[in-house]
Amino acid sequence: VNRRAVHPLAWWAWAIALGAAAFRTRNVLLLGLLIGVTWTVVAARRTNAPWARTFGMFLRLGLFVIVVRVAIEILFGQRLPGRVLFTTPQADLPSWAAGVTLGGEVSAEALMTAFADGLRAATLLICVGAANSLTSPYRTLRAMPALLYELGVVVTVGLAFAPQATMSAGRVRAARRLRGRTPRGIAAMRGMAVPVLEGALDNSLELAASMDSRGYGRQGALSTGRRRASHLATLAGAGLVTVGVYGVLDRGAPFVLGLPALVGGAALLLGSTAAARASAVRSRYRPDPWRTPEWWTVLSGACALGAFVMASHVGVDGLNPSYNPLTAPPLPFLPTAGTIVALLPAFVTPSVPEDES
Amino acid sequence: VPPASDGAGGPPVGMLVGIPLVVALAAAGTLIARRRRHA
Repeated sequence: VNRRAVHPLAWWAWAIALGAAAFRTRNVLLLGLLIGVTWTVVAARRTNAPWARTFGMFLRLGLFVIVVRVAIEILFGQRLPGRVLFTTPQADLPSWAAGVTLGGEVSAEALMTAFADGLRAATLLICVGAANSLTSPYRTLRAMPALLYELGVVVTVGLAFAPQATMSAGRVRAARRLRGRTPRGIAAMRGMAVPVLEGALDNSLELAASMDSRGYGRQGALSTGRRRASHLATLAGAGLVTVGVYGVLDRGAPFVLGLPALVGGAALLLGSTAAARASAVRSRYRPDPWRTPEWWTVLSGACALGAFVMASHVGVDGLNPSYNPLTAPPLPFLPTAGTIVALLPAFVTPSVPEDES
Repeated sequence: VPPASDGAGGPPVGMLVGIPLVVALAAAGTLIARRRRHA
């Protein structure tokens, strides 16, 4: 197989499918498997580029989310009966704060539930981190459909922010080290947060400006009325798709907000994409190819998500195990097999080009 | 699809299979990353 970069949209589709799969479970074993699979694929297929280090950043962010979730549970959690591990100092709250507790007995069941919740959010973050570290933000921007040119700056900043933050963090850390200050610890983090975030935003805006000046988002001749209609269709379509995705993922949502909203939104987006493509005046230089490995990547992600969706519809035991009373979570076969299939891109995609590996 | 363990009472088969699987994946990723760094 020739060495080449895999199409960025294939990696994003794979990662988003794994993230959506993680959203459907609270089983710590399955979440651990999902993280293991993303890590193995990232280790095998990430380049040497600065944005490839985003994965580590998201891993740390995930850890932070878990710690915060568990800490909130210890401080304010509901005091359900269970195996008490320790007791924190309890404060008596006034009567209008009924239902809120501050401190008290912390049970193993409550801690485990909070940990599983935090791990689920962390897995979602790690999947996004995997997509960010596997794809070049510049190539992703080039592959965006014509419909999104309109949103130019928003899309550029949205896609490039995390990789730019990683690069900015590297620069600020190096500068700190040169000044003889340690780049580690809480104090260092406090000093670095503002320059890193500001630098990342500045760089993303600069990128957006330079792309604007080179014709990204330029429109062909279109009447004002048609342009407005196209804007409206894009906005309504994006809104409907967002609501639809939420409706499909959340089983408690009413049916109308699920598939119908998703299909309607997609139809609107397709319509406005066709209109945008007809009026686009941008040529594409050496587009990234979409071949068999890209299909395998997308399919393996879809397989994992499909297994989780099917398992939750069939009612497979152990997808959302109750940690109260505390028992060892089972390992349901279908979602496990789907997750292992998502490992496929580590083998079937071409290895990264030599100058980037 | 039957669960790999019954959760209550019986041996925690899920844990016995799941934890080694997660550890194996993490180790495989780390090994690949280290090998690529040295290559």
